[in-house]
Amino acid sequence: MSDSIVITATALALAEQPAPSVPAGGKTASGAFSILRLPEEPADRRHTQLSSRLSRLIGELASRAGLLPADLAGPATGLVSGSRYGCSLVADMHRRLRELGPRGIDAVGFAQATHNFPVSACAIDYGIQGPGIALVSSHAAGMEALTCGRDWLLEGRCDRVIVAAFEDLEGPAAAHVELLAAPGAPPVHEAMALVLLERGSTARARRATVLAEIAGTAMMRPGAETGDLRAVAQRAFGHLPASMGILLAAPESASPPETADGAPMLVDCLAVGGLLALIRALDQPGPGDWLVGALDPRTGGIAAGLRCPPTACSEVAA
Amino acid sequence: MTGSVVITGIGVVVRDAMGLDAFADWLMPGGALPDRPEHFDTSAFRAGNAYAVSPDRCATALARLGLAGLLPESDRDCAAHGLLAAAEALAMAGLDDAALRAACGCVMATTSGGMMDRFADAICAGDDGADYRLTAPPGATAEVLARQFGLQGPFASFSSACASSPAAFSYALSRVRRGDTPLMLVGGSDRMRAADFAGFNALRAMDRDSCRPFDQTRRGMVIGDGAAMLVIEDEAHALARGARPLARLREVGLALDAHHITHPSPDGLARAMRQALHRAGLAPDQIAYVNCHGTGTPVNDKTEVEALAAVFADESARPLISSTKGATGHLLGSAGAIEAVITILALRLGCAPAMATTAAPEPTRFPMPGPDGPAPFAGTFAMSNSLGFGGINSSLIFEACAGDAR
Repeated sequence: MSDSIVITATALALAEQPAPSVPAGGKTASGAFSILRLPEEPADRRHTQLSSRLSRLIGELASRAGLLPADLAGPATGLVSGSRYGCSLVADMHRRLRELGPRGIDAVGFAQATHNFPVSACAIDYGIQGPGIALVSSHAAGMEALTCGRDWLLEGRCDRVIVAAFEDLEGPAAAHVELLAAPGAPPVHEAMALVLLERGSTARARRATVLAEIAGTAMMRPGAETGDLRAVAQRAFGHLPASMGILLAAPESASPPETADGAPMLVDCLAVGGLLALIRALDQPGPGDWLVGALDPRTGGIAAGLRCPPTACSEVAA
Repeated sequence: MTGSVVITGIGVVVRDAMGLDAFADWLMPGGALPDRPEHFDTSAFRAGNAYAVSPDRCATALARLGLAGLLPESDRDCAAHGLLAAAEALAMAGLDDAALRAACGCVMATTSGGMMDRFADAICAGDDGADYRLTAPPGATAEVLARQFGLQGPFASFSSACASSPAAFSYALSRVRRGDTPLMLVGGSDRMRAADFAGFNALRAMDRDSCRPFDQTRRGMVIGDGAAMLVIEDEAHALARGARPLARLREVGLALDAHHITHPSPDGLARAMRQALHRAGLAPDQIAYVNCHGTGTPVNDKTEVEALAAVFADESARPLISSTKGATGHLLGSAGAIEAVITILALRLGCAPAMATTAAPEPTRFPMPGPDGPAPFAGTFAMSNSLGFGGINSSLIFEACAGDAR
C-alpha cells in the first residue's frame, strides 16, 4: 500500500510593509506600483542574505515540526526550492563585470551567484544529503517544487522534504517586475515560504502533529480549466469533494479563479503564491478539503488537494 | 501507462554540429579543439577559449526551419539553441500533430536561463527594457519553447548549476510515470555569457588551451554552449502511435554532498549512482559504460574516480568510463542533457567516443577510450553522471532498445 504524504510544518516570511531599511527606490516614481521588500537578513561570510533567510526559516520549520536541526542531517531529508527570478546575485555578477571588468568577479561571489546556492548552503548548514535541486521557473515554481518534493517521497528517495519558494526582488528583477505590472496593479511582496513534507509513516513513527494530507496534485494547462475547477479537483483529490475551499494564486493577467466564500485573499508574491495559498488554507479554522495552487497564464499551473485535520490525523493514525 | 519510459526524439546543437547524425559523426572520432567565441571578447580573461555556437550559424539554421521570423529578436537569442534542438527532437519523434503536442510537457535545464543580463544592460542604458518583457526571467527559454511548439503539458525549468539537466529528467520522468502526461520534451539549452566565463576564470577552473579529462596533466575545463533536447514518452504510448524507441530512460539518482560549495565529495556522487542502480533494479556489473562529468579540473576528476571506485568496487564491475567535455566543452546547465544524448549514442553504436585530448590518462582500474578512436563495449545499460556547484550530484541510467544502430 502506498504511503500518504503529509504536511507537518510551515514557515513564512512575507513582506507586509515597506521595511525601514528599504530605500525609496522600491517604489516607482509615480507611486502607482510598489514592491515590498523583506527586511535585511544578517548573513555571515558563508551566506548571502537569501541563503541566510532560508537557513533561519529551515530552523524554524524544524522546530515547529518537533525536529532538532540534527534530525535533518543525512540522506533521509531532501531540499528543493522554486522561484520566478532566482537569486538576484546572478544578475549582479553581470553588473559587476560590466562596471569593473574581469577583476570585479571573485571566486566566492561567483560560487554564491548560482540559483541553487541557497539550497546548497543550507544543505551544508544542516547536513542535508537527500535529493536537492532548484527550480527557476514560472509563477507556479513554488508548486513545481512541491510536486518535486512529493515525487521524491512517493518514489521512496527520502523520508522528508523541505520545500521552499522565494522571491529575491533586487536590481534587475525588481525592474522587470515593475515593467510587467499593469496600471493599478497591487503591490508585489517579496516572500519566502517553506513547507515540510513527510511520508505519513515517518510522521506517524515520531508522533508528529499533522497539519494536512496531500491527497494528490493536478496539472493545469495554460488558459484552460480555470473557469471550471471541478475537473482539476477531481484529479487532485481522486474524486470531487462534496465541499472544498479553493485558493489559487494567479498573477494579474491570469483568469481569476473561483474562490470559496470567506476564503482569505492572497497577495501577489510571484512564485511563492502557491505555497502562500497552502499556508493560508492551513490557517483556516476547522477541518475541510482545500484545493490550493498557482496559475501562470503562459505555462499553466499546479493544484494540490489538501485534506485538513481531523481527517488527515485519523488517516495517518489509523 | 507501463512505467517504462523511452526516448523517441533527440535534437542537438553544439559548436561543431547541428543535428544528431552530424553530432555523432563529429563526436565519435574525438571532436575538435576549442577557439575564441564570436559573440564576446575573451581577451581580458586568463583563459579565453570556448566551444561557442556561432550566432550567425544559429540564425541561418533558424531561418532554414522557418523559425526566425516567428519570434522577436530577443526570443531567438534567449532560446535559439533550444529551439533548433527541440525542432529536431519533435520531428524525429513524429510529433507534428497539434493535439499530441498539446499533451506534451516541457521541462528545461539551464544555467542562467533568460536574458536578464541584456535587460539589465538595457535599463542601465536608459531604455525601458520592454523588448525583454517575456524573455528576461531565467525560465524564459522553456516558456519560448512551450509557446512556439504548442506544448501545454506539465512545465518546469531547473537551474541547479551543472546538475540542472538530470533534475529536469527526473521531473519529466515522474510526470510520465505518474500519468500526468504520456510524453515530455526535456533537455537543456544555454547561451554562453561573459559572467560565467569570468566566474570560472576567477575560480581558476579553466584551462587556457583545451580540456583534458582524466589526463595526468589536466588543468581545467573549457566552457561550451548549445542545447540537447529529447522527447521522452511512455513506451506503450510510443508503440501505439508507431514511434521508434531510441533507448529507455531507466532511472535517475539525486543526492546532495552537504560538503562544500565548490569542492565536490565522492560520497554524494556515490550515493546518487547507488540510488539510480537500486531504483533501476540493476547491479553495478550490469553497467557497461559510464559517461562521467569529467570536467578536466584536477579536483573533479579525482573525486569522480574515487566515487566510481566505491560503487564499482567489485572486480566484476569494470565499466568503460569516459568524459566527452574534451570534445564538446562544458555546457554547464545543459551538460547533463548533451551527455545523456552521448550516452544514448554510445549504447546504440556500441562504442564510446575517442578522448582526443587525453594523451596521458590517469591510471585507474577502469578502461578508457584512447585519443585515436572510439572504444567498443558490450552491454545494455549505461550511466551518465553530473555534478553541480554546491554539491548537487546526479546519475542517469539508460537502457539500449533492441535493433540499433542509429
